[in-house]
Amino acid sequence: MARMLISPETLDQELDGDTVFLHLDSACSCALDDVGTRVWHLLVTHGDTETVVSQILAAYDVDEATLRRDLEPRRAALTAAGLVTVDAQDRA
Amino acid sequence: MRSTGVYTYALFGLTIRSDLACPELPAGAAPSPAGEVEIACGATPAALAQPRTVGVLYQAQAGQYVLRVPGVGRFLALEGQRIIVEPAPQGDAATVRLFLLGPVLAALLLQRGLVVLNASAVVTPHGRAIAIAGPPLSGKSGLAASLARQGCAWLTDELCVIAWDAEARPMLLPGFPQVKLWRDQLASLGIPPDPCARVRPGLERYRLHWPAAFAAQAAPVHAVYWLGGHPNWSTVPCAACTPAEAYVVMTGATYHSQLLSALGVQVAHFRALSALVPRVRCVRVLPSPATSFVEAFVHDVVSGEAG
Repeated sequence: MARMLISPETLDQELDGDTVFLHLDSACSCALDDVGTRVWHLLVTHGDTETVVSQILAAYDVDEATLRRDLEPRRAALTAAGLVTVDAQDRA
Repeated sequence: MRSTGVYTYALFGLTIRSDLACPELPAGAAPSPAGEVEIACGATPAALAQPRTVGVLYQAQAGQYVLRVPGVGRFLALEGQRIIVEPAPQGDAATVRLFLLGPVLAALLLQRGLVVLNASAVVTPHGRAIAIAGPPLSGKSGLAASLARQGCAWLTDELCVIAWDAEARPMLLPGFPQVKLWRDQLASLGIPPDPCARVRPGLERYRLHWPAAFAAQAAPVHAVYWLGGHPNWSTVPCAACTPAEAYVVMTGATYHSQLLSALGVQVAHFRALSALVPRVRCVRVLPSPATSFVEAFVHDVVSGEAG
């Protein structure tokens, strides 16, 4: 799976467990709930979604298929907002 | 062009020196003003030199905002300091002020780094300022007017301005004692419409002046109510927002939210909203024109039972 990179144009701010974002270039603004924030932190730390999956599977009582189904829209939302980008080398 | 400052008003914690008479504004300088703003009459550009956003009627770039309204006039807001008004030859003075004290003033306040919501606001008998935001025609002004009729003091309509005081508390600043209501909203309050007070010719919306109920002092922001839009709105009439939801709500409620980047204030606004969200309750409410909804909402807010 592709490696995710946080856009240098991204500002983020944690608010009581949730996180809000501003993409400076597109002016797109969005927010993540506490679960999304956990995913964000793992992405920031590890950079690739496979590690995120394994970390969450180790920490929570959730089956992998459900996790991947829940994770995908959040990853897609972050990508669509321009907050993260897919590493060009991995994409190739 | 400099304003001769014939008229002096207090508005949103600022002292306004204006060439243009604005009888709806509180006269006199603001107590301990956060700054001064000039309103001058003069020539305005038809277009900005380097607009970052171009709309049908407006253009914006860092520190500058131009609004052109056919038959009414042209307006230029500059650097959070000055507004230049160029009325059209046949421009109706009240309609000129409608745009001046609405979108043009909002742009200037954003240029000053203030949080500006499209909302109405009152102060409850407990001294708490609450703002009522929501989509167009959701009933913001009517609900606030109902609160004012039941003992709340009026703070503002349309432009809801938040600033931080010396103790870093978010404060809702007083606007002016006027509300714009539709004919049915006036009827529900038992107020006959004044044909001379139409917001615009031919529109069934009327200006209502309420000097007696006006709160001239800033008050700490307690809550922002958003009328509508809950994901489970058919079953959840009222729900407190999580911080993430509150941020999204307040971003959506921000006046000229589509212009923040063009005006060069998006980072400051992001920081300001991020600071505001943890300090203010944000509640989504399913609005209803039913009398029972208005009565229940007003009761809960006035009694302090509302979340």
